Formats: sequence, C-alpha cells, structure tokens
Amino acid sequence: MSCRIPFFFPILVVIAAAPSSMVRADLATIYFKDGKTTTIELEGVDRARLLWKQSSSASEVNSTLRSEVDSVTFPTTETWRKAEDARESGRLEEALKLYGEVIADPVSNYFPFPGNFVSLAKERMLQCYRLQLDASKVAAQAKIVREEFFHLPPELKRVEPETAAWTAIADENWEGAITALETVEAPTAETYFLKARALEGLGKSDEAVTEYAGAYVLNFGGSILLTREALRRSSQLVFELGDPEKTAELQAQVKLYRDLYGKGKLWEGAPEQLATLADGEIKALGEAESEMTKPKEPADKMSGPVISGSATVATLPAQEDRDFLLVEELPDRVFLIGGREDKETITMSGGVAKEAESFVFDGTGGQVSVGSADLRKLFMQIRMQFETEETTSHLIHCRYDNLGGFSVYLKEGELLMDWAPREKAATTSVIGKVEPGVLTNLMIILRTDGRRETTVGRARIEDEVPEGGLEIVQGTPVVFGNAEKTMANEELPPFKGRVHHFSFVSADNGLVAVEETTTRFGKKVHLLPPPPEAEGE
Amino acid sequence: MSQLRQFIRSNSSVLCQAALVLSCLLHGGTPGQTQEEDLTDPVIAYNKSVSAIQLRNWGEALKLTNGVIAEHGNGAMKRFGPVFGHFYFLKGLALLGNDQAKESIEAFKTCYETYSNEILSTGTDDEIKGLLPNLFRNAALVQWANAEMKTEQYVAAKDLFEKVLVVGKDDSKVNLIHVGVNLGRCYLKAGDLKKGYEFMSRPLGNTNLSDGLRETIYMIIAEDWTPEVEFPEVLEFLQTYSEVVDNDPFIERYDRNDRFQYLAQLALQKQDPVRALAWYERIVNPRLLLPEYEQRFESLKNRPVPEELGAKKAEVLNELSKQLNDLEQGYIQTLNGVGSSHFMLQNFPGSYVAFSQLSDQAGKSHPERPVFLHNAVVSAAQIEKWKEAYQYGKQFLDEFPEHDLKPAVARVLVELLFLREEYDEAFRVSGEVRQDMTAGEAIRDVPDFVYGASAFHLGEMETAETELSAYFQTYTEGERREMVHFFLGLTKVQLRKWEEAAGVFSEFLSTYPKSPLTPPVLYQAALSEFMIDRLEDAVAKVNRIHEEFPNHETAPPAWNLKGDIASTLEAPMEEIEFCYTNGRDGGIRFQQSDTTAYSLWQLLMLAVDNEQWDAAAQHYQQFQDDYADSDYRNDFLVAALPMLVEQGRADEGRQLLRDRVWENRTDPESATLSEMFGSYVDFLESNYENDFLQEQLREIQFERGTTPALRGWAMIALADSMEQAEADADTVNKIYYQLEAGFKSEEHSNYPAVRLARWITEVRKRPEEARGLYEYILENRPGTPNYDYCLVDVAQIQAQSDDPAVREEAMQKFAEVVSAIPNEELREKAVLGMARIRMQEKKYEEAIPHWEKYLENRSWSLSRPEANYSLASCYEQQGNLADALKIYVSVYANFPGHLDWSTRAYLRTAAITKGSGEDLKALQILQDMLKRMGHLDHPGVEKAKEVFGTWRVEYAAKVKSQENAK
Repeated sequence: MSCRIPFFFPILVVIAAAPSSMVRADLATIYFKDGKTTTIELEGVDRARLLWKQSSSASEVNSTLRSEVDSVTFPTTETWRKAEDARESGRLEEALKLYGEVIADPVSNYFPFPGNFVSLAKERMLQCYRLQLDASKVAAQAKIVREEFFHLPPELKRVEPETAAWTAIADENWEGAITALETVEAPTAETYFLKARALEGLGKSDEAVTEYAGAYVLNFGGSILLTREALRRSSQLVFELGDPEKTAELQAQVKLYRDLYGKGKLWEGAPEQLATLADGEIKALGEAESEMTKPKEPADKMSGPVISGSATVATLPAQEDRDFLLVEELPDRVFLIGGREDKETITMSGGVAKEAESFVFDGTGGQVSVGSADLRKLFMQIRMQFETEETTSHLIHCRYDNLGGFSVYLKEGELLMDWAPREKAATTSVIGKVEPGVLTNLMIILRTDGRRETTVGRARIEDEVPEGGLEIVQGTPVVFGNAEKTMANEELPPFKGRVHHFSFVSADNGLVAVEETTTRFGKKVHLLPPPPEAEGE
Repeated sequence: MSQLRQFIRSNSSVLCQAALVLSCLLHGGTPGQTQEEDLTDPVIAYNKSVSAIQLRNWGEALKLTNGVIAEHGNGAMKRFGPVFGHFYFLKGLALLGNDQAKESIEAFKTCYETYSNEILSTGTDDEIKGLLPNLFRNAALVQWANAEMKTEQYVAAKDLFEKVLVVGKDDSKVNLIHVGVNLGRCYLKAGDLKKGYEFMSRPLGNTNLSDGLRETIYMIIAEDWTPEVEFPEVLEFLQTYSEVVDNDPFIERYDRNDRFQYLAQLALQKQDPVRALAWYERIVNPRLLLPEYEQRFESLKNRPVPEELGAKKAEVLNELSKQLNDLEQGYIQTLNGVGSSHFMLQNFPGSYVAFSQLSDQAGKSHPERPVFLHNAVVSAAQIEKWKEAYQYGKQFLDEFPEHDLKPAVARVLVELLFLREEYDEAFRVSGEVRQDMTAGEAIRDVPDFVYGASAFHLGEMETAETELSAYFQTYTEGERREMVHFFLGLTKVQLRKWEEAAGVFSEFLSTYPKSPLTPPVLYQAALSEFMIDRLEDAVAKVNRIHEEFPNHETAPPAWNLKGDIASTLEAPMEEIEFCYTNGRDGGIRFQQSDTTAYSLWQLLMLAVDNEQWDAAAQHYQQFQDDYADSDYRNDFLVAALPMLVEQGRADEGRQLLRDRVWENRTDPESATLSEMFGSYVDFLESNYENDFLQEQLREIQFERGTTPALRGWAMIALADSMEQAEADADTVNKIYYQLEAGFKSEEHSNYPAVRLARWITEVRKRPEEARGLYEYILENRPGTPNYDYCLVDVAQIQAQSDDPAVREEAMQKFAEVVSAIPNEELREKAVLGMARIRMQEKKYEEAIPHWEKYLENRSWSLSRPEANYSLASCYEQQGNLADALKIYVSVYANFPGHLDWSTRAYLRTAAITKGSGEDLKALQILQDMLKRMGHLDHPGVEKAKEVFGTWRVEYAAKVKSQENAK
C-alpha cells in the first residue's frame, strides 16, 4: 500500500494543471462492475473518479466512481507497448527492464484504477519470472503482486495455482506444489512442468517423466527454456531409471534436446551414454493412427519473385535518383505531422484489424484514431490510400466537441467534405468521386488562402473554404474509419474496406509542411509520383 | 501540363532528362507543349501509360503502349533510338499487372534486347544524332527474369538474374538484394540447392535488411530448400536463422502457421518426426491468440451499433466466432501432429499427453475423435498407464461401436484388461467386441485369445476349452498361438483330461522348442503323464527341467512331482526323500512357500509311513515354524496326527484340530470346517473314550462364541455317537428335536441340514417340511458340499407327490444329476428315481430307457432286481411277452432272495404261461416257486399259494372234463 501514496499526488496535479493532458481524448475501455463494457474518450483520472465522454463530439463529461468499475483498459504508452512486445517475443530480460521503466515512471503509467500500467507491470514481471523458470524470483515477486491486488483487474486478483506452486517449489515444498496445482482445470505446459518438478522432488521419477512430457509437448512454439528444461530433466530421469525398454524413449528425448533446443549439444554434465544415444539413428515407428491426409500446400505459400515495389515504383528512378518517396516506401504508413505531440499516437478500436501494413475495417464501426492534430494551423494536407466496399459511409473525421472540425465521407459514390470552422455552420461540398473496389488515392489540401484542392486518382477539383482555417486551439485526433455523425450531423454507415495509408499534415503553410515532412522522412512524400500541385507552397 | 513534363520538373535524374529530350524530339517543341488528344503521340501516351500503371489501370496502359508501338514501332530505333524501349517496358509492366506474365516476357525482352544502348557508343555521330538511351534496360531485364520466374521457368529466370548481377551491378535502379534472393530461389527451383542456399542465406544473415524481407527469405528457404536436403543441413539453418521468425509477436507468427504446418506434415509423411517437430516448434500456439480474438469478439458484442448495422454486426461476430474456432482447430491439428511425431519417435509419454489432451479437449463431435482416442489408448498402454488406456478404450467403444478402428482399440483394450488380470471384464469385453468381427480375421485374433484365456482364469474350463480349441483350429498363424497352446494344455489339466493335456503339451514342445514357456510346459506335461501312468515319460520331462533349467522356478515343484512319481513307482524311500528334499530346498531358494510346504507335507507322510517319528517331528516343526499359514496346514496336521499320538502329543493334535474347527466356525459354507470337523471327530473316536468325545461335542455346543454352524455339526456328531453307543431312539431324537428348534438354514452347513432333513423325512415322516431345508441349499448354495445330495433327496420327495407337475420337477432334478454330477451313487439314485416315476405314472414306454440305462451300468446294484422286474413289466405291458418272460425268469433265478421282486416275477411268469394256455406249466412254475420259497413268510408267497390252489382246482376240473369228454 505504501508505494501507492506518492503516485496519487502527481496525477492530481497533472489533471488539475492540464485538463487536456496526455490522457485527454484517448480511447479507453471501462469494464463496469455490473458487467457492462464501454469504449470511451478518457478525459481525466482522479483518485476516485474516471472522467470521460461517450465520444469526441459529445459535450457531456461523465464521471464514474472507482467503486463502480471493475477495471479500465487505459490508452497504452510506448514503453508499455515495447515491454509487452518484448515479453510476447520471449525477450524476457528486455521486457523486465522495460516493465521496470514503467514502474519507475508513475506519472505516465499510474492511474489509481485497476488496469493501471504500474500495477500491471508488476504482474507482468511475475509472468516473466515464471517464463524464466526462476522459482525464487517468482516467490519474491508474487508477494509484491499480492500487495497490488487492489489495483489489478479482477482476473488478476488471484494467486494463480502455478504461482503458488512455484512458491512452494522455491521452498522445496513438493507436496505443497502438487496441492496447489490440484485446482487447475486446464493444465498448461507450465502446469505440467511444475507438477513434474514436484514429483521429481518427491522421487516419483516415473510419474515425473510423463508430466515433463506434458510440458514439452504442449509447449510447442512457446518458451524454448521451458521445453529444453523439461526435456533435460525428463531425459535425466529416464536415464537414471535405467529401464532398457525405454531406450527408444530416451533416445528420442535426448535427440530432440540436442537438435532442436540445445544447438547441437546436450546439457553440461550430461552422461556420455546420452551423447552416444543422441548420435544414434532413430528408426521411426510407423505413423500413429491418423487421418491426416496428404499435406496440402498452404494457400498463402509464396510463389513468384520477391519484388522491390509496385509497378508504380518500377516506373520511377531509383530512390537515390529522386527527391521523393511514395507512401508505399515509407516505414510508417500512418502518420501525423505538425501535431500537438512529438509523435502521433495511433489507437485502433472497434471493428478494425491490422493486416500487414493495412487496416481492414469490417463495417461494424471500427476506427483508427491518430492524435493529436493541431487544428489551429492554416495549411492542412490529408492523404489517404484506400479501397472502399461501399458507396456510402464515413471516411475521415476530426472535430472538437461542438466547436468545429471537418469530415470526409462517401455518399452514393460521391466524396463529400463538411468544413466547420470554430462555432460556424458546416459547409458541405462534393469534392470527387470514388468507385468501390478500386484502389483510390485521395489527397485534400487546404491552403492558407482558403483554396481546397482535392485529388482523387488523377482527377482534381479545386474549390474554396472560408479563409482562416478551423480556428480550433484544442488538440484532437483525426479519425479514419467510422464516425458518429458528419459535421453536418448526418448519420452514415461505418466505413468498410481497407486503408493502406493515411496521413495528416498541418502547418503554417505548405512549405513548412513539406519541410517538416522532409525532415521526418528524408524526402518529400507523395501518394503518386509527383503531384506538381504540392510544389511551390 | 503533361505528367511527363511535371515529372521532368520535379526530377533532375538522367531518366528525366532523357524523357524530356524524347519529348522535345518527338514534338519539335519545347517542354510544356502537349497534345493531349492524340493518344498515339509518344509523349502523351507515355505519360498516360505511366499514370494508368500508377492507378493500376492495366488495360488502359496496355492500350496506350500498344497504340504507340503499332504507330511508331517500325524504325523506332532509328527514329527515336533505344529510348523507345521504354514503351515495351511499360507494356511489360501492364501485362504483368494484368496477370499476363507469360505475355509480358516478350515485351521486356524486346525492351532489353532490341533497344540496346550499344548504338549510342558504336554509332557514328550522324547515326546517333537525336537518339536517346533506354534507361529501363536493366529494369526490363529484371522484370523479364521476374516474369520467367512467375511462369515457373526457373532455368531461364536464373540465367537472366545472373546476367542482371553483371550488367546491373552499378545500376541504382536495380535492387541487387532482391535480385540475389530471386536468383537464389531460381537455383533452388532449378535443383541447384547448394548455390540457391548460398544466395538466399547471405541476405538472411544481414541484419541491416528489413525484418519483412528476411522473413520472406526464411520462408522461401524453409519451403523450397529444406524439404530437399538432409536434416542436419536443415538443422544448421534452423539453429542459425530461426530467430528471424521466432521472435515476432504472436499475431504475425500465427500468419505463418499454415506454412509451417504444411512443412511439418510433409516431414511426418516422410517418416521424419524430428524434422516435423522442428517445424511445429516454429508454430505459435493458436490458443495464445485466443485472448486477443476473444477480446475483439467481446468488444464488438458489447458495442452498441445503430439498428441498421445489426445484421452487419452479427455477420462480423459470426466471422470472429469462426476465427476463434479456427484457432482451436489449429491447436488441435498441431497437437495431433506433435503427438504423432512423438509416437513415431516411440516417445510414448509425449504421444500419450498429446492424444489424451486431444481426447479430452477436442470435443465429442470432432471428426478425428476416434483417432485421438485410439492413439491415446495405444500410447497409454505403451507407458503402462493401464487405467487411462482402459478409460479411453471404453470411451471409444461406447462412442464408436461401428468405427473402423474399433477392432484395433478393442484388441488393445482386451489385452490390457487381460494383462491387468481383470478377467471378468476381459471376458465380457472381448466377448462383445468379437461379435462384430469374423472368426479367423486377423483383427479378431487377440480378442479370441483373451476370451478363451480369461475363461480359463475365471475357472470356466469348458468355455476355455471350446474357445482355445477353436482358436487353435482357426488361427493357424495366430499371433497368440503359442500362448493359446499353453492355455489349452492348462485347461485340459484343470478339466483332468490328462491324456489330452499330455498330447497338447507334447505338441507344444515339438512346435516351440525354444519357447520361454518350455519349463512350465514340461512340468504340466509331466504332471499330465503322471496322472495317466505314463510315468517314464513324466520322469523324462521332469529330468529335462532339472538338467536344462535347473535355475528355473519350475525346478522345485518338478522335484515334488518327481517325488510323487517315485512314490507311485514304489521307489526306495531314500530316492523319494531325495526328491522332496530337493523340492523343499528349491522352494526355500525361490521363496515358493507352497512348494516347500508341499515338500514338507510329503516328507512328513513319508517319515510317518516309515515310522521315523523323529524325522517326522523335525518336518512338523519346520512346517509349524515357517509355513503354519500354508494352504497345506490342515492336510499337514492330519498327516502329523499319528506322529503326535506316537510321541505322546495326542492332546496337542486334538487341540490343534479343535483350533482349526474353531477358526472356521463362522462360515457355515466352509469346506475346511466340514473337513476339519470330520477329522476332529475321527481323532476323538480313535484316541479317546466315547464319553470324552461326547463331552467335547457338548462343550463345543455351549462354549461362548460358538456358532449355530458349529453347534449343528456337534449335535449331529453327538447323535451319531449316541446311535453308535446304542442309545435309545428317544435320546437321539431329542438331539434332533433340539437342532430342529429354531433351525435357520442360512446359519448351518449343508451336512447337518441334510442330516436333519433326512431325520424329518424318515423319522418324523414329514417330507414336505424337510423339503424346505433342502430347497434353501438348492437355491443358495449350488456347488457346495452335499448340494448334490440335496438335489437327489428333494427329487425323491417330489417323486412321491400325487401332483404330476411336482413329479416333473423331480424328473428335472434327477436329469440334472445324471447329466452334471459325476457321483455314481447319486446318478444311480437319479436314474432309478426317473424310472420309478414313469412306472408310477404307467408310462411304460418312457420308463424303458431309464431301466435299460440302469441295467447297462453294472456297478449300480442298489435295485437291480426291481430294475429287471420293472423292465419286464414294461415289455409285458407293451405285449412283448417273450422278452418279458425271459427277464422275469432271470429275476427269480438271479435274485431269489429279493422276495419283493422274485415272488412277483414267479407269479407274472406263471400268469403269462397260463395265459398262453400252458396251465400245467404254469402250475409247475408256481410249484417250483413254492418249493423254494414256500417256507418263507412273504405276501408274495402267500399269494402264490392261493393262486396255486385255485389253479390246481381249475386244472383238475379241466382234466376231468377232458377225460369225461373222451
């Protein structure tokens, strides 16, 4: 409990001093105690209250007491994401270091609600130690996590049987470990491993061998450490049992250890006989009874050549010989330049999934939020490469409460844009046409003098919006995909299709925009080889 | 402004300059002048083609390039120079984009070969004036190679890529890394595995390259190279480069699962399980993705959407649900493969875990469930997890009674049950499963064996004999033939078919001379031969055991058998003693307490027989010290009694006998109680005064802790003792009355119950009351001692009934005795009983076979005069007077003393003779009878006198009348 106290104060300060702080306008999911769940725009976090809005366009700020909430999925921070990525990828030392950083930075990562990253990081460290098979560290960390239960989501507020077993094993309390595992309903590889360790500790070698098998068999594609250790211990036990009828079994195990997990070697101190056994040839027994038919080549097996780019790229000179990059050549397919923060924050929610470099919208209301845009700037450039499956749907949306903003959407094949400067009525214009199922390159440029240039493919429309920009000082994300309503308050179906690229650049003028883009990527960026209209600003 | 010029404005490359020059030359104007209407205009067409390609409008691009080529292609080299090749390059790209790779080859080839830049360096100034270079030449060569590769012309593609590496090495537009990768892949596809791998692995090891490219290369090598090379090479590849794919987030790894799954299955198909497991190790466990997908599902499920989106939401939820199911199926498929790999490696703990999990978790509707269960059974059996093997086997049989794998599962299951010595289940299950199999099928081999062998273990010897014999006949090459041969012999032994047993074992020894079962077979064969007095053969086999298998566990009992044979052959005592001594010592060595106990018993008897009391005492002591709990303890004690009496230890013997009786007092059905009580009473009778005997019996009756069963035995023995002492009937009857009072059949042994029943029948003349006692035993204690007596006694009571139905019950009981009970005394009574019933019912024809059967068995002497007389009566009733007469004569001739039958036989003989008109002869017969028996007091004799008197008067009158007539 003592570690929580210092964290409260800075948070309150942040919320109080900066209402539009980091967490502002970020999506979060609240899991209520009554079983309901909602994804909301988080406005702020207090010791006992969560302040939120139903959507960015909503004006009403709701307040939810901590006592009403089971847990909150907060918008992630970069360190957290990196830590999670490292853990998932098995880079445990790196993950532990990063989780340590999360814990050490409570200002960014701690909110006094279950689901905050500081508490979660402590629990994740416990998981890492378990993956490292380090009984003593698990035992020590388990105590720390136990003290965090108040700040953990309900599903983590329990001592897992495996953790209890690890703790017992750290004390060589073998019976205790087995007792702890008795409640496990769906044993995992780790469960098997722990039971095997306990049985081994009790001298029940035969039983331990079968349990170790559970560990290395069910752990396919999982932590190599667990598989390797299970195989090593199992092999050693089978060897010590000395049953000549188990020679084939022993040979299989040491061979698997050496070839697949030991980088060609057995463990240090392995008996010489085992090395000889591993060298021997295995005569595979006839196949287990199986109805596995002849393997079919997977549909996604790569055929044809590895190519360096699209046909468009092929028509261009080499990158070194040109001063621009196509979006398909960028490391980041979604970006925001000239925003309120150093780097954009990208949040997916609802029915959208990332496939390779693209976002796939299933039409149920998914959206990708890119924050946080600066709508004070007079120059704006929106680029999008997409394929729509519908002729009518939302596409791009950016607004701050009811103050103003813009929206781009499709209506019966036409592309429309609502433009609503601060506290002014929205004006709606047709700015192009979009065909379903066709790769569409869209670029909208809003110039300082009010000119709006829209390019859809090679078709260009030029018109005007009121000079002076949107005049919205607050930062707000630009969203592509679904929206609640257009700026003209029209309800439309959510977007369904794919988005390959989206970018939003805002600047004082076009030249600055180009300059900032060039600074970030080393060259100018184009959807298609060079749209000359982008020049000269 | 044309795109070409826009392009030129924004670029300063050579390419751009060239395009600009091209534009100027073609139009003779300055940049900026365009003729957008004329699509055969090279500049317009070029720019529009590029634009169409950028928008993936392949048809448009193709139309434009074809238009220009058609318009200007002839002489283009001279007119425009190599630069005209650009149109062919664009055409090639359009064709490629339009999935016309084959057609694109010609375009790229033309661009590269026809529009070479060579002229620009070799031509004269005039010749090259105004001509521009083809800047896409190397790019065209790359695309040409790509197109060849796409059309699977790997050799051609390889040659082209090799060329690119030479000519394009300084061309910044050529991505040499990709070229190298593609070239490597072409080598692989063209069969040059070594070179291919070299080219591919170099960029794979280059950490400066993007993760995506390295993953692509890894997968190409995995798919194209690894299946073609030996595993050690694959292993090196895996160990060196697998981190390229192993460390990605789960979701990315999951995308590759199908491809690794394919490689693993390919390896399994080639019987290469280690390789398969290497690929399975690359697969991400789909269950790890469940939380992510479940979260997506839950999130959408909980997200309110406008009404009009309800259907779409449902559709997406359905799709997500399908994906969740795919994850589970992917897990199952992988685990199945992993389990199969471990099975092939004979790592059965591994395969057991996999298939047991699959059996438990894949769901009952999974199409491969029978396979999972089957494999779980087989794997469990291999690691001796009998309980689990049985459970999965049972599940299989319950759920898939018609499945093709049923025989295989059944086979394992029944053998498993048999090995677990669960013979009841083994017998039942094997009996069930084989019903669906055809006798003689290989798959029925084991179930048939288990059925027969289980029957043997269950003591169902007739079934065992039938089944094992059938197996022997049916499965001439059967898997369990040797075992069946053995069990068949044992069955014959159990059935005491010694001759057949000896034959079976003898054949076994010649068929399987090296069988590990040879020692027990020799022993059983010797035992069988001993029983049929082929003593020399038996000795020879026993000697073989001692010579060839002296350290086999059969050797000690074989010594005992040899002792039994020597004893039978009346060999010198020393010889017999030698055998049993060896049996004893061997038994001690092998810790065979039964064998040693038997040896000691025989040694004791030998010593007693030879009045070697000290030696007997020694054996007695050894037995009491070490084998007092042996099964032979009672026999041993009885055998030791003479020695104990001789050594003045009669009281010790008496006490021991009494103790044994006392120990067994609580079980009325105990055969030991019956035997030991008999021995106890005999011992008392032989060694003590009658008063003492009766005192002891009374003591038992009233001792604290005694039981009704023991009391019953004691009272019957007391009654017998009193009868022997000629006590008056009332005194004896008093004991029976006491016993009868409150008699509960379930508390008493059969013998006292039968004795009481007989007393009730014979003394109290209340057979119906007695029947209750008998029937309790008949209904509740089949197979126990005296059961058969009950059967006969009850039948005899029923036979007296006036009710035909009750008599039929008696007939059935008698028939049961005749067919199933080997006791000759009872069989005789039964046949007699049946014949008498039929006589009583005047069913003479049916009575005849019973009487004939009785008379056929010459050892039956209980009622031969009756049988003969009755048979003759039957013949007489049938009108067969000649045969009847013969038998009647034989009755009074052979059994004159049996007056009941001999007098009747005389009378019937005389009557028949008289009936045939031989009055004088009839009188002579009666005269003969009265001469022999006339002095005897018997109703038959009286009757004969009366008849004789009557007939004589009649005969005299008749003679007088005849004389008068003369």
